[in-house]
Amino acid sequence: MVSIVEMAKYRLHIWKQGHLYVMPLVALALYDGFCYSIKPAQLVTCVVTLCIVLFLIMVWMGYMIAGREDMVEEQLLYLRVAQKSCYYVGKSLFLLAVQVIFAALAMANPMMLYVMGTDMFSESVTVGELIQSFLLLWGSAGAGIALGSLLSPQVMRDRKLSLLLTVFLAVVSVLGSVLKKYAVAGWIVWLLPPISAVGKVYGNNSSFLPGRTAALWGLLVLYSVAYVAVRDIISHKRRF
Amino acid sequence: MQAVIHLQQVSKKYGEKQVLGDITQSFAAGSAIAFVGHNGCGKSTLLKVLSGLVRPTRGTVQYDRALIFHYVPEKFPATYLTAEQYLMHMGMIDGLSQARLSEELWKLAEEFHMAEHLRSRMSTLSKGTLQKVGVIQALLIMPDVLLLDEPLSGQDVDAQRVFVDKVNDLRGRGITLFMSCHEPELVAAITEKAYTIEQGKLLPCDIAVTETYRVLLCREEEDARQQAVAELTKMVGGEILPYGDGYQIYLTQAECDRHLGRLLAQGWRLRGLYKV
Ligand SMILES: Nc1ncnc2c1ncn2[C@@H]1O[C@H](COP(=O)(O)OP(=O)(O)OP(=O)(O)O)[C@@H](O)[C@H]1O
Ligand SMILES: [Mg+2]
Repeated sequence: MVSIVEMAKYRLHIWKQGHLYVMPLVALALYDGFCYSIKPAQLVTCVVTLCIVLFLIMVWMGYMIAGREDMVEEQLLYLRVAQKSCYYVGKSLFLLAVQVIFAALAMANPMMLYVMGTDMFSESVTVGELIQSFLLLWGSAGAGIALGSLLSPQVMRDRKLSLLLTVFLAVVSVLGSVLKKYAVAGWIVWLLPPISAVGKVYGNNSSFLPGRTAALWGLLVLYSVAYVAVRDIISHKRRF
Repeated sequence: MQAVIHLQQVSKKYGEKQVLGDITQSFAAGSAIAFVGHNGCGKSTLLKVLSGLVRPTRGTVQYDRALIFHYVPEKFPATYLTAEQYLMHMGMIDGLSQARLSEELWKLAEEFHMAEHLRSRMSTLSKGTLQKVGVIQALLIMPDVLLLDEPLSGQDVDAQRVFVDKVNDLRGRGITLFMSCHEPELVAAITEKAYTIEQGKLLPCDIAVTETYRVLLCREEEDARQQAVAELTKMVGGEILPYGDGYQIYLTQAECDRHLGRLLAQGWRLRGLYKV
């Protein structure tokens, strides 16, 4: 248990020192700025668009994290622990930390709206709605980072192909509900995180529905866990 | 001793290239094994297969229990962290307390003469210093198995001596050791058995070390230098290099025993004898 947490801490430190977060953070801030300029009247609209943007940013983040992994460094960590699951869980814990950090940062936008009050909103915002916003953002961030880090160098050596595929999968995920009508695309969409469902559920709803939010969050987490598990199983089969 | 690692008909292919072929071998707990052989014969690959880093193409690797491996890789990677930060993280993963770890780490760094580099970023360290970080991270705790892949490449003589002492200390406490290495002296100093890999096969090999000495000799009479060299060449063979007023010559232990007495009797004078 100690090793798992320490391993995640080590990865976070490397991530911080490597300044991998800078560009994604800038992208998020730019989008926030853009959001304000068009003054979204509803928290729901703001959060739903933010979910999609955050998802894409986190795909990018996950892809960069996976690409930066040094093979020998990973080997040293893998050998250090007697129980190999510690190595894999430690890695996932790190991804969890990154997604929570970014989801929290993305909350800056809704929080600001909350603080500024009815000036910008058609209705006032409750704490419950803020919590739901966070759950949706967290779910989206998690699904994004899981998808982005799926095609790691261990899983796919060819970096160009992995980049193309990752971009393709991310775009299909976002467009999901539109593409579902087409037979072939329908299948792929099922395999991808249901990020488009967030838009679908809240597309013509102007208020939060706690039950729906919880279900979406649960589904997104489920997909994230499944993606991480698939990556770890392939990595473990292949080793280094 | 009880065997802890079993290789059963292990083969490893990279593409079409057969690196290891059908190796069956068990290794006992507490043994100290060296793998020697030409570049590219598969030493590093075997270390990786033994530790489970690389999955064999065929055959199995089995352990009697879950083992903690510490590994000094051929080329140690430089992270964005300082050496101290990196080593602290590794020690914490190993389960050491922060206080104990900090103490241990500085002690090791002092011993390896790199304490002044601990606070530098790893990417700015010299090759040898970086390799020392690689050695220290493996020595923070006593693992079950220590894997050394050419651990001393690029390190200074003092560090080599400290390293040999440390590893022998761990051996006394029952660690299992595997090392890939090109230096016969190091093989003799820390391992008890050596294997070489030829065409994928693991073969026992003799590691009789031929210790070499640098012998400095001079002639009492200064006149006939040319003649002296010819004479020396005839007696001992090998290359004779001028050194100050006299000559230097490299001899093995056996050659020293054979020739030195005669040389002294014939008017040569010994001016120095150094182990190399
Ligand atoms: N990841 C890899 N992909 C393809 N071929 C590899 C890989 N790793 C090693 N090889 C090949 O396997 C052979 C054995 O390599 P290995 O690194 O085990 O040699 P070595 O005995 O450690 O050599 P050296 O003394 O130079 O360290 C080499 O021919 C090498 O090219
Ligand atoms: Mg090698």
